Formats: sequence, C-alpha cells, structure tokens
Amino acid sequence: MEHKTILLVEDNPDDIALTLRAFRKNNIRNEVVVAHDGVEALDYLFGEGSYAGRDPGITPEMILLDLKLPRIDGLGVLKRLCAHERTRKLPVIVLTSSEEERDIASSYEFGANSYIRKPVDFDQFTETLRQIGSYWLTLNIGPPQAERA
Amino acid sequence: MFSDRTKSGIFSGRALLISICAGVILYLGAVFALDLHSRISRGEKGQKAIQMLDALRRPLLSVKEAEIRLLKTGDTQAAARNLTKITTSAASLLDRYLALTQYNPTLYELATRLRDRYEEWIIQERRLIGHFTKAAADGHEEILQDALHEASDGFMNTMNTLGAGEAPIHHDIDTGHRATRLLMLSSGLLFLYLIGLVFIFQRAKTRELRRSYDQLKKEMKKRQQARAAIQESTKMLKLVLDTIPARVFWKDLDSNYLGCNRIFARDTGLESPRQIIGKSDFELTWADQAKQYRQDDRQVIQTGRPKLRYEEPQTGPDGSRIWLETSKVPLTNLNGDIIGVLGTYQDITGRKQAEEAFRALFQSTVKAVGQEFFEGIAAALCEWLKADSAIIAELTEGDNVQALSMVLDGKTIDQYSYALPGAPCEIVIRKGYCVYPDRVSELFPDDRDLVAMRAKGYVGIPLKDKSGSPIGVLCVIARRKLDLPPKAQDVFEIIAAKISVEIERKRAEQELNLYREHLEELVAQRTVELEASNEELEAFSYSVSHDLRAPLRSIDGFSKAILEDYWDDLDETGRDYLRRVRAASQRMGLLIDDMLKLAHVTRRGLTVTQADLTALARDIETRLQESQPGRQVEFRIQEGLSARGDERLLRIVLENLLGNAWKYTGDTPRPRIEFGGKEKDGETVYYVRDNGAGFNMRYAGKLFAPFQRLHRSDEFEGTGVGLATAQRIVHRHHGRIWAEGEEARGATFYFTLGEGIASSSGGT
Repeated sequence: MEHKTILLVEDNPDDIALTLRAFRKNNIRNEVVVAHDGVEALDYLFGEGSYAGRDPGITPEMILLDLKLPRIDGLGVLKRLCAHERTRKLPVIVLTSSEEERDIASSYEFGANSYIRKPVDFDQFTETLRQIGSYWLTLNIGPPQAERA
Repeated sequence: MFSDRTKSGIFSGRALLISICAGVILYLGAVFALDLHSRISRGEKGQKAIQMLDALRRPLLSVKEAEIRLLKTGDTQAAARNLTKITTSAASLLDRYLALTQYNPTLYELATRLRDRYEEWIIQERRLIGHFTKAAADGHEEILQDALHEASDGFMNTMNTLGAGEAPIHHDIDTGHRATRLLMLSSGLLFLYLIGLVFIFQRAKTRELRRSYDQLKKEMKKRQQARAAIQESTKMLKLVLDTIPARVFWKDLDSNYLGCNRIFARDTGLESPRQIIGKSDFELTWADQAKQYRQDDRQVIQTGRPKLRYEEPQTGPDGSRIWLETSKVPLTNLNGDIIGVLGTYQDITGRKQAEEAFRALFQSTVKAVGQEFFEGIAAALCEWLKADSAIIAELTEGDNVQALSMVLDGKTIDQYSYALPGAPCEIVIRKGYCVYPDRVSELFPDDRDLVAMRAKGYVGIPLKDKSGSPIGVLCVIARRKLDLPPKAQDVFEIIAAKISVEIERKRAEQELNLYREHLEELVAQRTVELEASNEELEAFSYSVSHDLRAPLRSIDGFSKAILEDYWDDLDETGRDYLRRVRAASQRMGLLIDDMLKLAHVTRRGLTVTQADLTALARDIETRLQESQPGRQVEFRIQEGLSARGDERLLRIVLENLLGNAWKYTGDTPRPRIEFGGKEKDGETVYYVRDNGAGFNMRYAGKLFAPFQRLHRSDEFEGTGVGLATAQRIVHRHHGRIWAEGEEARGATFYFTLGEGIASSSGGT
C-alpha cells in the first residue's frame, strides 16, 4: 500500500498540516505529495515545470483537490485533467470549504469523482478523511495502471 | 268716482219714489181720516135734493094757483083736471125727492112727512073741489069755507114741511163745500210737495251730473296721458324691437303671425312688420321648413315650456339657406293663459360655416400625427379657402424657414425652404396673424417665390410654443383675391395652436427617442453594473463559505492537536480554555453555514412538485432520533400531508421547525412533537407543536428575525437563523408563518403555503 501516492492540492498550510495530521491519526501511511497551487499540481501530474523529468506515467492513487487555489484553481485543474486521456480517469476528490452549487455542478461536470465539504470541527474532519482513505485507498479498485499510460 | 256715485244715493230714483209714495199716502190718509169723500158726496146729493125741492115747489104752487083760479072761475071740472095733472107730476117729483133724501135719515123723515102732508093737502084740495061743486049747487057756503081753510092749512103745512127740509140740506151742502175746499187745499199741498220734490231731486241730479262730468273729464285727461305714455312706450318698444340685433316674432295658438320686428320682416322679404300679421309660415319664404317650425311652436304651446337655443335652417327670400339659433317661449296673457308663442333667433350662418369648415378641416387630420398631420392640414386649408398653396414651416437658424409640409396646386412639395427677410412670413412672425387679401406680390416684391407664382391673396399666422415664442409659420397663398369666411382668424388660431402642439410633440418625441436610446444604454450599463455587483456578492458569499471556514478549521484543528499532543503539559484550566476555543469555532462554523443557507434560500430558484410532507417529516424524525438515540420523544405525524412546493426548501422548513421542537423538548419529561395540517378559511394551515420550553408571546415578533434568540446558548444551542430561513422559504411559497407559545408549556408553529406556486429559475 505504501507505494500508493496521494496528491494533495491545497494552498492553505494549516489545512495541509491538519490533513496530514488527520491521515496520520487515521493510520494512512501513503506518500502524500502536496501541491500548493493548480500549476504545481499539473506540473506534478504532467511531469513539467519543477517536476520536469518526473514520469507522468506514475499517477497518484487519488487526488484531494481544493477548489480555491492560486494561479490555476481547482476547476482549472479538473478541466486540464479531463482534457487528457491519461489523466481523465484519475480519482479526484474535491475537498473544499465551498458548498456553492455551481462549484459542485462544475466539479462533477469536469470529472470529479466525489465532492466533500471540509467540516470545521476537526473531529469530523478527521473522520471524513478516515472514510475517504478507507474507501478510495482500500475498498475502491482504481483503473488499471496500464490504461493510465 | 265709484264712491262719489254711491254717496249721492240719497238722491237716487228709489228715494224719489219713496218720497212720492210717502206724500201720496199722507194725502190719502188725510182724505180718508177727514172723511172728505163722503162729505163731498153728501154735499153733492144735498145739491140735487135742493134742486128737486125747488122743482117740487112749482107744482105745489101750481095747485094753489089752480085753487085760486077755481075760486075765481069756479070751474071745478077744469080744476079737477088740473089737479090730477099736477099731482101726477108732483107725485113723481116727490118720489124722486124721497129717493134723493135717502142718504140723510133726518132729511128722509122730513121728506116722508112732506109726502104725508102733501097727500093730506091734496085730499083736502080734492074735497074742496068737491065741496065747491056742491056749494055751487047747494050753497053750502060754510062747508066750503071750512074746506077752504082746511086746504089753506094743508098748503101751509106742506110748504112749511117743505121749508123745514131746506135747512138740513143746506147744512149738507155747506159741509160738502167745506170738504171740497179742504180736498182742493190738500191736493194743492200734495201738488206743491211733489213739485218741490221733483225740483230738489232735479237739483241733486244736476249737481251729481256735474260732479261726474268733472270726474269724467279728469279721467279722460288721465287716460289721454296714459294713452300718450302707452304710445310712447309702444313706440319705444317698437324701436327696441326693431333695433335689437335679433329676430323677434310672435304667433297665435295656430302659429299665425301676430307680429314681428323689422329685422325679422326683412328676413321674410316683406317691407314692413305689419304685413306679417295673420300669415303662417307656409306663406313665407321658408315654407319648406314651416312644418318643423310649427311643430316646435306646438310643442312650446302644449308643454308651456320654452325651447331654447336650438339650431335650425331657414330659407331666405333669395332661396339661400341660412342657419339660425332659435329660442321659443310660450306667450301668455295677464291671466297666465298661453295665447301663443314668442320666438327669437340669431343668424348663426357665419358661425356654422366656420364650424363646418373647422370640422371639415379637422376630420381628415384629427387622427393623423406627424408628417401625415401636417400634410393633411395643408391640403385641407387649400381646400377650405380655395387657395393654391399652403405652407407649414419651422423656423431654423439664420432667418430661414424649413417647410414641414407644403402643398402647391394640390401636390406636396418636399424639402422646401426659404429666407425670411422680405417675405410676408417675416411680418407674420413679428406681428402675428396677417391677411393680405389682394396684392401680396406687389407688397413683397423681394419674395421671388411669391412673385413667381403670381400670388395675390395671403394669410399667415405664427406658430408659437408654450412660452409664446415663435417656432414657425402657417400660411395660405392664393393666385386670386382671398375672400376669408367669417371667423377665419379663429380657425387659423386653433389650427396654428394644434400645429404648434404637434411640432412640439414631434420635437418631444425626437427628444424622447434620444432619451430612450440613452435610457437603453443606461439600463444596459446598470445591468452590467448590477451583474458585476451580483458577481461580487456571490464571490463574497463564496469567500465567506470558503475563506472564513478555513481559519476556523485551523483554530479547531490545532486546538484539538494541542489537546491531543500536549495533554500532559496542560492543566485542567488550559484544557478547558482550549475546549472553549474549539466550541466557539465550531459554533461560528455553524453560524456561517446557516447564514449561507439563508442566502441560498433567497437566491435559489424554485422547483415546484407535489411534496410529500408526511414523508419529509418522518425522514427528519428518523434523523433526529438517530442524532440522539438516547432520547425518547413521541412523534405524532399526520398521514397524507402533501403540498405543492419546492421539496428541498420545504425540507429545510420542516427540519428547522421539527429540529427546534426536538431541541426545546430536551428538558421536558415526556416530550411530544406533533406535525399536522387542518383546513381553515379555504387553506391548509400546517403546524408543528411541542410540549417543550415554549416562549413568551411578548417576544413572538422577534422569533423570525435572523440571529434573534429567545434562549441562552447554554440552555439551548442554535444560531437564530433557522426560523428566519423557514420564514423566507414560506414567503417564497406565498405563505405565512407564525407561532404561539407559552413559557414551559410548549410552542406551536403554523405555516401556510400559497396556491399556484410556479417553478422559477431564481431571484432575490
């Protein structure tokens, strides 16, 4: 299980810290790659920019995507992922504070697999992440790696 | 004068008659009282008796003479014969005397005695004659002598007796004479009385006559004066009637003319008003209209009500038809009886013509606006005045005039403009309405167009705006002398006013169009702005939902982290503080959520379906029970409740109301929550009832205001937004929401949902 990477796209360092803490608390030991904005996330996924040289064939097991991001926002990221055959089928869980219907609708439209609102209560937040982890990382069978290539 | 005649009544014929009667009665009374008539008749009878007595005396003396003759002659035979003859007549006289004396008993007795004496005496005489014969034969002188004595005594007795009768007879005669005299005297007096009476009456009559004569004279003078005055006023009246600028006539009950004034007579073609008398309308020039005229007369006469100021035509002597404004009133005598009809009228032909021209002028243009209106007016003006050209023009800058419409010889000329200086229009604009009937080209030789068309007649009027400053000119031009109908100026002024209004309207319309375009721009701009601010608002609510929550999450998360990681380093107070921090941040998170929900409710569109409220309530019940499995709450949810509305929003309402009920029954021993609906006044009133903490009705008004709470947070948690949200949803469903409650006795929330809710895409 250790080889399964989680891409966390989040600009808020507090949220990053809390998310990582929550993973830790829930015994989710996967490698977590943090991208601080949309550009960085895309660079990572496509092996470009600061991640130039990284094999884009190795894809994360799941992407936790915040919507409100500097430079390219979450929806922008989704759009790009959706546009590429290679990235289209990556499980993307939108994890955001927004409850805007517009955001929810757009997210699903651009291929998000799930939409979860971050609770303010850290206990609930931890519980949410536990559930996400157990579902997407344990129960869910992702698309074959070969197809991803 | 009547009173004078009454005063002289004492000398009336009746008084005279009474006076005469009184005199006569007095006279007759006196005659009868004094027994004059019988006394007079006694006197008359006495007269006859005395005559008879005198007549009787002769035969008696004849007997004596016969005796004497006997004594002389001794012829007894003759004497006897004589005696017989005499006694025969004497006897008849004596009988008549007796009859005559019957009126007086005394006399009658004397007469009877006379007869007795006479008869005795006659016997003695006869004896004497006998004795005489014997004596002659025997000579018994003595016996003869005795007989003679006896006869003489008889004669004497008879004569004495006769004489004795004279005295009473004379007395009677005297009495008769006296009575006759008295009668004559009284008759004389009566006569005098009557004469006097007649005289007095005559004088009184004369005086009276004189007086009445004087009065009559005075009266006649008065009457003369009155007649003169009447004549004067009649003359005045006639003068007034003839001078008054209206036709006046009056007719009898059969609509025959009784009179008219001079001006009326002129209308009929008659020389003098007198000629109208006795004529009917059928004999006058307007025989064609006579029937209608007479009908009006009859109406006025029969109803006794005037018929005022109505218009009618009339044919004049030259066969032309004029228009009248007529009034007819009933004509009454002094007793108030209607004896005819009085009429008057004015010739309103000029006015009528102007009206008709006016109407004709406007009929074709009244509905038109703008260019059509101007052209219609110009054409109608040409038609009306039989003119060749009409121009409606607007003043433009630099003393120029731009035609809005120009008609020349029946054709519309486009885009005509001319310079004002030297044109008659310049005068019009400066001075107002102008008419040059005949020589306009000569007067304005500099106006080339005018000269070119050989114009003669010209009428112009300025067009002015509301403030009175000229904005244009209207003119009509003719190649012949212009003969304007009466009141033409009025018509021109009205038309000019209408044109001016239309020009102003046109300008306003243009301006309005300009504004409208501008407005559209403005609206577009505002829309953009509004959309922008809407975007901003959404961005704001987005950032609220997103950005505010993030720091809260950090506060809560790191507080939790401290509590977990540094539990041992903290004392219980430190831990408590951190728990408070966490509670506060969680509460703020709820507040933000509710606020956003409220905003959502307002902005979201409605998706209307038939919502199963019972099922919604049951679902919420289950969730509530699950949230606090330890609580035992009795739910009573009515079956079969459904309503048209947005199910998601209605769920929020029920969540809020049932959630509140759940919350506020937290400390109630046997909590019970009801949801139901009942029909009231044709609508369904839904209710959520609990037996919880309730509230004071005094604060009922605050219930639905956002962030208003009636309970302390440590009693019951909550943000105070739920009911505000419920209210907004109910309002969006055109319904009402209200609450009843009592502290510690529970609360009931009622709401209704309006009919005919339709889906909508969104709104505020």
